[in-house]
Amino acid sequence: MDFCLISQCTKHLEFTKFRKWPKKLPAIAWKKHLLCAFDRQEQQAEGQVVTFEDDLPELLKSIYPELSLTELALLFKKAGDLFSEVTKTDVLKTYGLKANQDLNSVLEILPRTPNEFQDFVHHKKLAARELSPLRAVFNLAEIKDLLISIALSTLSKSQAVSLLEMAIELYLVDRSLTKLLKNDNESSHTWLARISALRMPLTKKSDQDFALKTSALNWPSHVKAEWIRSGDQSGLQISLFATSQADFKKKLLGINKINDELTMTPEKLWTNS
Amino acid sequence: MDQLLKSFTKVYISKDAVTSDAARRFFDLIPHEKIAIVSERPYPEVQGSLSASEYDRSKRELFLTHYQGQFFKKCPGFKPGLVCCNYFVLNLGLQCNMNCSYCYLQSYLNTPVTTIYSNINDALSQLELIAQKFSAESYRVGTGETVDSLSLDELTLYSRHLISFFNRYPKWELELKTKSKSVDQFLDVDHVGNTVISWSINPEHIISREEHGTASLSERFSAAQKCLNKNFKVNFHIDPLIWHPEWQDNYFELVDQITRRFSPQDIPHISLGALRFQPEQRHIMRERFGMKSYVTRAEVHLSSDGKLRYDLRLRNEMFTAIINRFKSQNSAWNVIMCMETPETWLAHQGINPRSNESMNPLFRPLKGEQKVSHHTHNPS
Repeated sequence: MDFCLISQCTKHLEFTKFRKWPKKLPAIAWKKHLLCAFDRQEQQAEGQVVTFEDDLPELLKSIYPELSLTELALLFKKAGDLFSEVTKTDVLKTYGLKANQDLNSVLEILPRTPNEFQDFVHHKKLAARELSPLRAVFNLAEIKDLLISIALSTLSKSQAVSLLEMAIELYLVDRSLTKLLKNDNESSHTWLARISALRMPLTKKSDQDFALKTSALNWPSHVKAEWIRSGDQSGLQISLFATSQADFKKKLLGINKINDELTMTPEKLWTNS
Repeated sequence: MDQLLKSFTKVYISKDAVTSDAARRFFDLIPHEKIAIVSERPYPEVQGSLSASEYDRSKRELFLTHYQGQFFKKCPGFKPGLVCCNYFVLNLGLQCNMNCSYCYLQSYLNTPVTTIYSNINDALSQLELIAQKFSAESYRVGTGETVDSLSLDELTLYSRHLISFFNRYPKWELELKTKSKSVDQFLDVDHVGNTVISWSINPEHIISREEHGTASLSERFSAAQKCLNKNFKVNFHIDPLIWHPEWQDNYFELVDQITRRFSPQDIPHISLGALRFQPEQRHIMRERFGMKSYVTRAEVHLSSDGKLRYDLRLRNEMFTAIINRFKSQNSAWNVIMCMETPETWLAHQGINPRSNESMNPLFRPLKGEQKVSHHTHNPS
């Protein structure tokens, strides 16, 4: 450990814009490369720096108990040859990540994505496996607009991850985004549903057909019948609201009537049209 | 054989395997400039699964080494949530020289080189211990879980050792499962009728699109006929069924080809399994095969066993159509489903095979299984 001035340090490793370093604390550097307080000017009073010579992973972890994938990716990009492979592996391990080629690919890809997408990955705390679809894209520039749209959408994290994968798979089929980008008059959720229907056309059609058949049956009032999907199965889900034993019996009789009808003509619901 | 040898750009032989029979054969067959004697593994094991490029390389490089672990484990189908004709697997290596788009090894292997274990005799010694204890039982042992049983067999000739070993235990059954045409190397071995050669088969359209580097359908059928001529038992696994727009025509044609060339007596069991894979496998498949593959484009959903599978109705439709096609030709065809969920069995057959007496020979739990199953890897 040693002391120096900011003017004696580099800002080569400026890798995060998301975290502010407390003004009361001195800046910290590794081998005179600043690891925090990147916004400090050398002429400022708090221009003192504590610099360390070794154990970068532990030092980083002390400064930043958590780092997002975006931050790690930018750190490694800025570091270039400054970090050995062993150092990178140790840094990843410190943050609970296993160094392997797939993770390295994602870390190499992320800095080449639009800033909006990098911010999205940071704020939503996406994991490397959730960005795996990006590894299959040869030319990231071609999907820039898609990545920005996803980043700016109102989808939840899991919805956005799902859309990212489906849209990239559809893009890979013919290298075109024409039908994949979000339309101006479309909500994020409508966009997700449209992409999902494009990626799973048979499933969507089958589920829609069954849903239509379900709604065509003469269900008693206050009985809610839906055709729903649960993983690799789809089926009928019924819920009912009853106010008394007599009401309950009435609803069940109504459902039984439909059961009788379906027993005679199962194709009204149970088979594909 | 030439094609097989050309497929490997580098062959590593560990020092502890140099004096093995397999190594001697390698030295005879493989150009010496391709061979390196090594004292350590050529590559360290990868943390997690292999990347696409590591996986591709692992198919081009071969490592012959002495294995010190347990060669046996239970069939991966034997677990809660899955119905399978449980049996034991004998692992004599890792990785396959063929390249099927759907191969589960893509999400299983972390060894970045095709590996063959040189100490077949140790494997047989382990087998002997169990065999002596349970010689009266009808155990089934397969070798095709982490390698193709026969695609590298022209190099190793392990089939000859195995068939001879099983002659001493006629109640036991050996299954050699393959997508290759490599059978000539063991056809002259005397046997007592307890070796089954099984082919995974698919319509030629699927083989050419999804099963890269494998034998064609007609080559597999010809190899099967050679085995039948030498009185080996033969089974076919139509697995994985892969949906595509012309699936019905193509699978019906496959059934017709089978029924034209073989009789139900020739092929005692035909098993069906539909496409399934671990969710994380989709990423490496996408990178390695793009989105033109029927497998990467498949509409699959999370199943109760944690794998991605086609919609249950679609699976049942495919199973029903294919079974009916067999039965329409001859009701004696015995077609079963493997690696399927109980829901599929109940929906299709109205039974759970584990509770059905007629299916006991195939599905009953093995006695003493806990005493011989020590492996920790589970690819399913």
